[in-house]
Amino acid sequence: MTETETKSIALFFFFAFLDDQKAVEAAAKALVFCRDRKSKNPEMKNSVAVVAATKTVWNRYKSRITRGRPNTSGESGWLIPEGVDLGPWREFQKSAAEDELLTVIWSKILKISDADISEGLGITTGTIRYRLGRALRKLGSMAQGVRKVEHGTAGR
Amino acid sequence: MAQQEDKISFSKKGKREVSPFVGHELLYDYLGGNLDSERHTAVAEHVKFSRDAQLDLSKIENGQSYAEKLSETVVSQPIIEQIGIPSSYLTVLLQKSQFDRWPQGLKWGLEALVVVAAIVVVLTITPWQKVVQLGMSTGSKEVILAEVSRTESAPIVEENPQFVDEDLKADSKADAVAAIGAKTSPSPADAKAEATIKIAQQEPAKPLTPAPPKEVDAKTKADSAAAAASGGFLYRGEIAVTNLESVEPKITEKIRELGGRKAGSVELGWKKTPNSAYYHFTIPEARYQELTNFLSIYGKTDLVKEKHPRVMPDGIVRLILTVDEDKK
Repeated sequence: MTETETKSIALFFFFAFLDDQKAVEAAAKALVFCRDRKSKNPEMKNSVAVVAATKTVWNRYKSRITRGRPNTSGESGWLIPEGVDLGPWREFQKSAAEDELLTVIWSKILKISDADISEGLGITTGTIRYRLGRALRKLGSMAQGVRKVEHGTAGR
Repeated sequence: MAQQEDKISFSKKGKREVSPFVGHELLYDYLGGNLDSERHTAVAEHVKFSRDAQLDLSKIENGQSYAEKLSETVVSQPIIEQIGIPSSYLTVLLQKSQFDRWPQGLKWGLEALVVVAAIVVVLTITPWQKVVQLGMSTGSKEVILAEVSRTESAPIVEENPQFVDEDLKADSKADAVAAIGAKTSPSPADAKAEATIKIAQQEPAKPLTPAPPKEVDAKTKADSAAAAASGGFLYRGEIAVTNLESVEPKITEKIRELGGRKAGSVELGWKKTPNSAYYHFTIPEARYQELTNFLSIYGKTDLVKEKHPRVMPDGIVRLILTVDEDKK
């Protein structure tokens, strides 16, 4: 496992949990899972192993986190790009369905291909694309609302 | 398959139209360019005439661009290292208890408690008795008043030859000279002592210089005073035997057999003069009676208990015995 995979796992749990401490904790466990899977099946692609491991750890942690109650701070080491508002994502993380949330993170934030996501989850790529379509529509509507407020066009 | 495709029902105008529902669901694929050209055209037509489809397309585009920006999030190196390092029990405990988010006062209180507990444990475990003893043994201001050896087998080391101190009460002038000679000699070598004695024997009539005896007398008085103050004692005596040459080794062997050890600088049975053997030794008190019984075989033993400043360990007695050749 390279640093890229470690970073991907860390980002997955950061955006899935929106909790600094739990993200690190879960990422550490997912990394162990990931290495374990790779050792058992060396031919497995790293991105597939990342999807499978993050999904497993997510299932264990999802009951422990309260979505919609972010627990992040600017000093914790997660450097959000300048000018990006986390508000829409917080809203999305709170209201989106689990499969939509995770699929957007894997596909659009971690840049894992649909084929690898489908292999890691054991579902078809069509399902992945369908979930992405729905998820991006929700996320876009939330981001659009923020943009309208920023540009002063809200309510027109 | 080709026949089935040929049978796909197109509209009356020969176009393959998509329903609004299907058109909406295909918007993401349309945007990603994943549709075949025919489907792509059909969805494009749908978007062209559907306001909802246009809005949805805009939302998807917004969502994608927003997610693109989020993907640029950087994870700092410490976090990557923290994830890479296997977590210990303590770190898991701290994470679970969210120690970082506790109030500052509570954290300080807890840390102070841990420090106090550690100090108490150290103070309890440390063997202070040994530490104090160690400190005292290294101190240079200590004054040793009396040194008492507890082990029976330990040799008694004396700075000055005991013979000099103990034989001061000897009546003969030769002995006094011998004592002075031994005292003035830098080493307690027997040869030198013998030489001094020989000189004393060669000049028996010559009067002694008055100074040394006075000094000796003064010292004896001081010793007596010190003896009176302390609880020490020794047995002093003499015995006259016939055939000293053969008896002396037997007495020496018996003393050793009874656990006796020389106490002065000279060996047991040291020939003070050709007709006199000198014994200065320690012996277990329990064997004292046995020794006197043994000595009584060879002659009348006259052992007198005298006070002495040197205190012997419990169960050990010190004796000075002079064995002379019987003159009769």
